[in-house]
Amino acid sequence: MKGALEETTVLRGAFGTVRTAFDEPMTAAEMTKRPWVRRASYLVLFVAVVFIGDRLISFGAMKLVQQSKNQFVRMYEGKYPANFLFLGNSRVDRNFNFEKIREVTGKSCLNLGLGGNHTLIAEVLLKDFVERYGNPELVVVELSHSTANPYTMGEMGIFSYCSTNMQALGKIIDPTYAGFESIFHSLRFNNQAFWRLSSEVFSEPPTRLLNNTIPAEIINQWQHGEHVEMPIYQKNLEALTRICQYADARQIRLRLVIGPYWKEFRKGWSNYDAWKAALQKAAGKHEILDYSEVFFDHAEYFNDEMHLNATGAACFTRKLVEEKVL
Amino acid sequence: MLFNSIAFLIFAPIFYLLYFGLRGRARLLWCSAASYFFYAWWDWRFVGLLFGSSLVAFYSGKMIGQSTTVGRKKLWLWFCIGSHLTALGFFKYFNFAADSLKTVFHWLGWNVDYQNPGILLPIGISFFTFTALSYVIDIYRGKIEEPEKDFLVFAAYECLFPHLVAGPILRASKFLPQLKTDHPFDWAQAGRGLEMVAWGYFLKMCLADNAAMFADPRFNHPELFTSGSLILGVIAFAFQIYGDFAGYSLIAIGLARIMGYDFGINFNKPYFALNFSDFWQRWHISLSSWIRDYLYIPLGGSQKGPRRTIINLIITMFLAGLWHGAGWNYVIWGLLHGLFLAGQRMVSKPYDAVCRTAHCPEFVSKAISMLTVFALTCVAWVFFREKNIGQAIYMLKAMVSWQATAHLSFGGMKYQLLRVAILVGIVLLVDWLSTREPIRIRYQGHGYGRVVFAGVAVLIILFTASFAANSFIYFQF
Repeated sequence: MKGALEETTVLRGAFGTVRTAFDEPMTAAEMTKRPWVRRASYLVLFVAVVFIGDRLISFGAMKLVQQSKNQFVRMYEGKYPANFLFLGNSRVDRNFNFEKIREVTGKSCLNLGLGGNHTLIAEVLLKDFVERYGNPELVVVELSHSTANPYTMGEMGIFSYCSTNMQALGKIIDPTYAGFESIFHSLRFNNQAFWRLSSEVFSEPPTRLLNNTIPAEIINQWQHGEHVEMPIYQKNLEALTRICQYADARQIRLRLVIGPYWKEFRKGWSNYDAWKAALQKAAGKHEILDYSEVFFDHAEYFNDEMHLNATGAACFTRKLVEEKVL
Repeated sequence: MLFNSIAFLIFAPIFYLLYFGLRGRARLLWCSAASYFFYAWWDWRFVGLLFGSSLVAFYSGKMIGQSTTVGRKKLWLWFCIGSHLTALGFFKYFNFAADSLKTVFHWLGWNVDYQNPGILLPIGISFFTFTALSYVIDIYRGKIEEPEKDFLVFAAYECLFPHLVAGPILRASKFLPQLKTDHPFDWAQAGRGLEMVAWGYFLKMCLADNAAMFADPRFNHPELFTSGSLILGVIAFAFQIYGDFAGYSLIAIGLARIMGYDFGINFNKPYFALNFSDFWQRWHISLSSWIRDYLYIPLGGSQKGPRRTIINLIITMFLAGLWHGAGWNYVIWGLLHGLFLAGQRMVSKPYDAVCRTAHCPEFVSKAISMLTVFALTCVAWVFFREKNIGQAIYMLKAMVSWQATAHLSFGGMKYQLLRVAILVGIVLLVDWLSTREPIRIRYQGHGYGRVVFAGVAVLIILFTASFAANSFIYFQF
């Protein structure tokens, strides 16, 4: 049979002869000299390479990430006490001008918003902040993150290396992955966040403010009657209720905000009222500050249908300060 | 069942345990039953189709073998080809043909009120159809001396799970004899098989799935990205499809190697090709050799003069395009490759002459050839990947218009691009190293080195792979 195998590994390709890179056997001497000892040593070596390598990679990755100037890392490393805490998704990350807020109010701000983050993550981030620094003066939660899929860790999974709360959330969201993660620690660093955080070891994080206006393609798309129904996730609503209860119990001032949307998108959002009603029910006595329509006449403030550009962010920030939301 | 799913991680050890515990017909029965289970995991309703295909091909082969006249042989051959192509045509091309006809009627001014029934495509139908057809054609041509007498052996040949849904497309003359031997467990074979499986998973989960994260947004919304970003997206797709399909093939070949079977190879460093003939000797080898043997050569191949050769190449690649998918974009992709193959016949001699006259160093002329083949392959991939021809043309225009003012450059994926670039570098390095004979021999003779390499491959998978159980692109064909 061995002969047949060797013969057939040389395959006639479409117009010539090709050989596999894997088809030559180990030397006969290698396999015949005490084969069991050799096989066992192969197995031990393989397991050792995988497990020792895994621990080395995860240790090195953790040490690298810990040097990052990113605000999430600095918060987790205990280096970012802040007066005002902002939680949400990219609509926090992009729509607020934190430098401006600091200038006007004299309060330090911590931006814990990131694209894809949902309310369960916001809940963990709030608890992790409080555990490290005590109560912030104010917590602002931008509520559009309640439409984000709560069954993923997004980029936040990386912080399970330093947060037991994040680890626990990972176990709830994807117990299989979390199980493998507890065996192979390098899985924690297998995401885009690792590369981004690592690059921020060597340079300051870039500004999060955007500089474009809405592209013509998006305008066309929405002006031709595009509609969207955003998902309402019960898990996110439950997390919002818990955030409110947590803030109340610790007497933390909480602001629940819906940031501005571009007019055409907001009008095409068919279940907006139902979503807002569900949020209000989850938030209980906390008022939801709805700024979704505030820039209906200012398409030039938007980078795309959901995100403000730098001009828009400055105007929105000014408005929040003027109305004493911040 | 996907190779990169938890279900398969449970299925595989159970399969191998029983496989090596059984002998003879019991083993073949187990192979067929497990393979049907593997197939039914996706949709049990099409198990009957697979069984029917095996039954028709087995019986037709038997009848061709028993027939004493050429006419009767031909009758059974065409019965088998006809029934298989009817099933393939119905499941794969009915929606496409009906939609195309509707469009033609619309152009002619007849508005037909017809709703596409949305016929579901049985996974892997193109692959098992070609596997079955090669068997009966080879019997008819006398390349297989005697038709298979045991249906269990034949069923295992057609449906063995590693190659069932996305190839490689097996040849009966090479594989049936292997099924008649009880392969005992062989450490060396298993080791080699595992190496292939590990590298296959690396290609799929690290290279392909990461490249997909970068390429997908660019193909889905080309209007939002700058030209440079779109070009990078197309290059990422070129490596995505390579990693995806070569990865699947390698896992399949490795799994078979553990069983003791040799499937041959299906990919051989395709992006190192120096011309398009070379490319098709390296890309999806089992399909290109199938098409050569059962389509190109019967059409006359290159034996009927240069003009006929070009026509044959274009017809062959047109059908190869259609085999890949029921859509005009696949047809254009195939035709482009046909044109590239034809064009190469006209350009290669003048190119060589220019290089000789200019005393161009060999490595420079090779690099130019390689890059040209890669660039043109990428142009064709745009048609392969986009939803329709209009979108593909839009994408190509956007790539060359240098629209630097577009909304997004990297779209927040600068770091993803870095990751993909590193992975592409690793793959090209390993591919290149495996072409260096002294390095290859040294590596293959060094057991501990191979074990360390396998361990490092697992570590890279842990550190960079996507564990989202993404499907394989070629499943849709």
